[in-house]
Amino acid sequence: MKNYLFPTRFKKISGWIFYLTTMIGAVVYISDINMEDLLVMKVPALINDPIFTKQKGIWIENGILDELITVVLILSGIIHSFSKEKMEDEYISSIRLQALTWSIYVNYGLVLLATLLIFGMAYFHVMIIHLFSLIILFNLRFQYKLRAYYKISSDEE
Amino acid sequence: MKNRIKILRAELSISQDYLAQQLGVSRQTIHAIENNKYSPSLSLGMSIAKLFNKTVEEVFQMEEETEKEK
Repeated sequence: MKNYLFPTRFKKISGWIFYLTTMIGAVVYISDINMEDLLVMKVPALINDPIFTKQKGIWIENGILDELITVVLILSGIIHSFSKEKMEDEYISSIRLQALTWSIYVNYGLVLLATLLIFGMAYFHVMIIHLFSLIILFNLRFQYKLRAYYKISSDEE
Repeated sequence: MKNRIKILRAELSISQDYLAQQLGVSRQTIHAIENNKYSPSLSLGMSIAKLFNKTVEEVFQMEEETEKEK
């Protein structure tokens, strides 16, 4: 049966990139750094809302740090989450599925809470965090469960 | 679902590691199956039974059946 997983060799490197980018992204987002002033270059804009920029046309000047962090975090997160373990078997697939189910429940539970309790510009931050929260929650849960799986002690009898 | 893998394994004096290698799964998976923490798929269940030269029913039993037998 096809499982749509990446080869094991991607697991470690994507993990490093994912956790490192998550930390960098969190620091940059929390700090007062204006991301639009960093790594400025001309980029193609299919749709460009005038709320954030007055530039018009297909090509606009834009600081690409936020786009870079978003792309790297999502790609590395997906590859890390869905790379095969060294011994990928049906039990690990079942752990992965359970972690995915758990993270969807928790993620959307938090979104529901935020929707009911957070208003105004603060909700914009909720939406930004929500872009990455599912993949982060899933990764944390899956790694936690995998750790327990590998810790199963030898009880040969 | 209950199973007799631990007993069958002891009868043949084979380790979890050996059984796992023969089935192409990890030792942890065999451990989880033996301790009823994980119910294997039909194909893995059949492979386990075949390896012990038993029928699936001789290796795996539904909880209700086990209770009735008691």
